[in-house]
Amino acid sequence: MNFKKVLGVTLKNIKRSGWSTATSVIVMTLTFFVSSLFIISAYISNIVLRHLESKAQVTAFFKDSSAEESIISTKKSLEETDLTAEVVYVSKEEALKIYMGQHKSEPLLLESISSSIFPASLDVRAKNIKDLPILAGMLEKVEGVEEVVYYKDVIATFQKWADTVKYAGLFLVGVLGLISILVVLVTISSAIHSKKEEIVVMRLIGASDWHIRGPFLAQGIFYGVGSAFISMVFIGAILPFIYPYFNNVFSGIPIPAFTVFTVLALLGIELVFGALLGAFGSIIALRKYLKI
Amino acid sequence: MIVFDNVSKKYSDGTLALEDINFSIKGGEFVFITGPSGAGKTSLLKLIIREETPSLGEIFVDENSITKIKPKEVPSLRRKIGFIFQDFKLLESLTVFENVALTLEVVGRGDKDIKDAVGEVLNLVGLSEKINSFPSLLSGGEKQRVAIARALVHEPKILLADEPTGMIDPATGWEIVNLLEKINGWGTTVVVATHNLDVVSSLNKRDIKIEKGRLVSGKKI
Repeated sequence: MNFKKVLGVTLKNIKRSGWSTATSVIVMTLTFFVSSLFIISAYISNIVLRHLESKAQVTAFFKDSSAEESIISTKKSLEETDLTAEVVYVSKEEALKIYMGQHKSEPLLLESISSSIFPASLDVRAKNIKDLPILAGMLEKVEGVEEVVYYKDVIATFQKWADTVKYAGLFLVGVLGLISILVVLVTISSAIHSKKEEIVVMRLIGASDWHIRGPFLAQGIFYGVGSAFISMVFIGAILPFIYPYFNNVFSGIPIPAFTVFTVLALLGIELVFGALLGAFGSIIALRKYLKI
Repeated sequence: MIVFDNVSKKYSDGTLALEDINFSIKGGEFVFITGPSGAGKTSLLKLIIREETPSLGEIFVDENSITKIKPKEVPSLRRKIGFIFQDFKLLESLTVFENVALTLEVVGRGDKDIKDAVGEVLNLVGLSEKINSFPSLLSGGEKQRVAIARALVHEPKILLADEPTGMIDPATGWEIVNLLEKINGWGTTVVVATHNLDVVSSLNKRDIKIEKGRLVSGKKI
């Protein structure tokens, strides 16, 4: 049976399957839609996490009485350890400049403000994020240090959130994937059942295994590929809304925009998975219900 | 062309359908397999198309043993044979054309070929007018003709017919028998299983008689 014939029989089978076809496509579309959202979330979470890790630092604020020489000496001794990637001294004046830069559009906040209210500080970036608590401990013991702040908790919380998204997403995609396989299995099984008589006749007149099984296998693959495509149409439609949302939530973190290439790559991956998912459901149905 | 060598068939429920059957049918021969209902005629035909396998003995079709062929080789065996079923086995959802074309589709013939061959064979069985009709609109005799057309369209070397006159009126039955004789005249080996002795006696062909699964006569050519 050539490809054109297989396609013809497959389309006829799909048409005959009616509501079962609709159910299969809806469930599989939902699976791929959720999978896509999960992949996008995982991608963005990863970018945010990397950004936070790269920015992870311990900041030690010094008392007003601390002499600049003593702070510089602390800076040097920190740099001599193997733990730091960078140690930056921020003087009171520099702290004022940073503050003014951040609030230049709010003149009310800048009125009657002077460098005296800002403490001098050392911003310490670790080579390894795991060493941040050690560096914080060292800084706490330095004389003249008023407060030590570091964002270990922020990263840990975000990591936890990202992991939760990852595992919940994987679980959801797994469950939906299983349901999709079952729905395809039921649809193909009922198609096999409705063509029982035809299968018997085809067997007796010498139809090969492929001739009989081919259209059923193609039907499952068609559901998978079709659903993957429909889900990507929906993703394409909501992507322009998702992107600004994430940009807003993680403002200040540069999240690269989704390019046409990214979307096409995602589509390609989903089409392959769609074909595999549909074929898998069909193969189980054929093994179970079509004995030749 | 067809050889049964000490063939016995016992079903899983213990029924002994055929016992120690020996006969051979030459290429181009017209042979009746006769016997009362339940004698084992249908089982014998099913063995020839490998719908069943013998419990003992060996069967040869076209000089090849079909007893131990692999399942994937069964379709090519069946393509050498045309089978006319007692209950026609026409697909109600397909037209006459589509029912007949099915045989050619499974052997991978092209659309143009199929159109020509189906038209020709329907003309032969006298059903050109009904090419687009569905089986539900046909009489018993017409259904049998479609079944013959489907069995014949790929020009098989062997044509097997299981009670071809069983479900139609006597007059139409005679037309069907005459048609089978005509097909045999072109060189096709025809094997007809029937319990209609009027048909058998009128044609003066070899009769392989079976009773209770055993060969009674007709062993020799």
